[in-house]
Amino acid sequence: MTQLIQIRDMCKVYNPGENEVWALNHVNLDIGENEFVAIIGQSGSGKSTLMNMLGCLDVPTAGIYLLHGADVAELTDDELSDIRNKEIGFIFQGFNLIPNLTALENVELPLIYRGVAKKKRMELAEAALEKVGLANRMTHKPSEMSGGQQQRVAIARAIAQAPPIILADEPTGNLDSHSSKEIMEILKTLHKEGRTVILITHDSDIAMEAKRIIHIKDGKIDYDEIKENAE
Amino acid sequence: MSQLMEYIKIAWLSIRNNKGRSFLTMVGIIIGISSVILIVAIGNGVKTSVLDGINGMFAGQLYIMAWEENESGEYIWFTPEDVEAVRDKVDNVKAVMPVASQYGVTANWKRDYTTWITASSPDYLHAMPEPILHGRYFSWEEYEDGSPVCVILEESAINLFGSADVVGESIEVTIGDAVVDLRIIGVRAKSDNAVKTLMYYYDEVEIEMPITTMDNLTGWGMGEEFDNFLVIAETPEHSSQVAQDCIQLMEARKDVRGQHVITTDEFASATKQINDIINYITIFISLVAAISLVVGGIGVMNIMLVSVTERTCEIGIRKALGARTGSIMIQFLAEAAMITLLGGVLGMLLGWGGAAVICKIASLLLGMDIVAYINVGTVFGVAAFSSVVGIFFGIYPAKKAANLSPIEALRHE
Repeated sequence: MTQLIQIRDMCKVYNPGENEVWALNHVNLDIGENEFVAIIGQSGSGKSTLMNMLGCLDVPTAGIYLLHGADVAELTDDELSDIRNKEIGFIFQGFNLIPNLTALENVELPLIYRGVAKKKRMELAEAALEKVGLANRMTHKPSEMSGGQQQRVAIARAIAQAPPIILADEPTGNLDSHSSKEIMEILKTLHKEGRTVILITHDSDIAMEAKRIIHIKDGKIDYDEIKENAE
Repeated sequence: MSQLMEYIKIAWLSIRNNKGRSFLTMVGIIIGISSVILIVAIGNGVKTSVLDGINGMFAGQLYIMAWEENESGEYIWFTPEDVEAVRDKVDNVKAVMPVASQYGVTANWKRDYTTWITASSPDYLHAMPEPILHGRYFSWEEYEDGSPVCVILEESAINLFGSADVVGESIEVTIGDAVVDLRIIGVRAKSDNAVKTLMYYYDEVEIEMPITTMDNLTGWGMGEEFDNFLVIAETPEHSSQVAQDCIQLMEARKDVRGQHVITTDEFASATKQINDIINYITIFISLVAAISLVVGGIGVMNIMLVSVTERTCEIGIRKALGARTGSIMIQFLAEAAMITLLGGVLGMLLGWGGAAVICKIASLLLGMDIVAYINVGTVFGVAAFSSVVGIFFGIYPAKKAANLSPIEALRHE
């Protein structure tokens, strides 16, 4: 299995000097292509920091992060933007849709920043919305949709440009159990289709859906389990 | 390029979603732009209509003057021969004549009337745009003979006789020491030139008569030696050349070449003065308006800063989805530029509308035809300038937005 993500001795220190907080303390981690990984930990364990690092939203204080073998720490802000745009599809706990745009326009956003032409963009965005079962909600604004529907729009946005990595941060955190189940089914489908899905959660039931579970505690990887018989 | 269109669309959406606030932000710009356009449009209208009026009165007219002493300390006097020389030798001359003006008194059985007497040659017919309403102008024969005839203005005829049709009547006029009965042979029509009506003071009685007749009566010799004479060019375009030719001819005849003692008072220079005055007013008002644009621009900057703070989360989302620093920057710059451009366009409409209304009212009050207008250059200039104001005052907020870190921005709720 090729290593998609390689993390070596990654540290993230907030408030260096006085009151130092080591959110990540010499973390080593490899994630291969087409893995379904859950990163689980209590709040304050460092899992959100790890997610920011994985998503190239932040750069580590020390250590190496190789994505496709390229060192992310070396990249400029704009290069990081491009990586986020091409390599990573984000799904957030709070959905993070732009309220005054329709579902379709929200899904189009990453494609706009990628420079995809209008016609092609519409096709991709419509296909993505169809895939999450929202073909009939394209012109709705986020405020006109339920939480589950909004999260599905967010998933459509994450997959519209077919990035190799789906990074989901507590995707079901704000949802009822029925919607949660729907979302998890979609994530599993994405994994089956060949994407790497990284799920960050504090909920062990949700984590159980993944094939590999990485436990984080106090900024370190506590243990890393691979479930042989998971689907 | 298509990217840019997308960012502009994004910016437009944001303005549309904050209609009320965007409009209030525009008010400063609207006031600034509309006042400039108002003044420019009215200025243009007034300028055109005043200049048209003045040109109608004096187009192509110029005076050749010898008001300075020459090298030997002598004054130069023109003679009827000089006038004939101009008529014969200078091209594109419609008319040329000595003109003497004098106050006198007209008396009838009721009372005395202040009388403005213009004495000249039959060419003076062309010095006024108003046509002869009744009768005819005095002839060259009457001019040679110094006949006691005159042409009277329509208003004066009505003042004296209560009627304009007074050809054949006589009036008793005192000029200097002489008292003479002048036969009215023609009536010059009232002016329909609104500018003239506004600017020109009419005396109770105004008459035109041969300069020879006046000289015969008074012995003043104003038609024999004079220090200036009036030339009317065929068209206003010819007047500069005609003036130059006349001066050259006179310098040669009076043997004062190179002494610069014969000059001209071309009417075109008077119209230039009016142009200048209106241009100065326009520039002054524009400076005042520029201050309001700066204030408006700061308002735009202020509201953009608020908008950036409010939309921190949106900026975070966009950055997470791959927006580069430049994309965010352009989005906010486009938003600021669009607000000011829109303000500029609304300001232009408002200013032009206001100017049209004011000009309409002024036209009715003054009996002139003033049409407010702005030229295409001004329209594009104002549009470009207001966009630049937006971009300039948008730079700081846009930079602030673009430099937000995506995690900080996402954390912001």
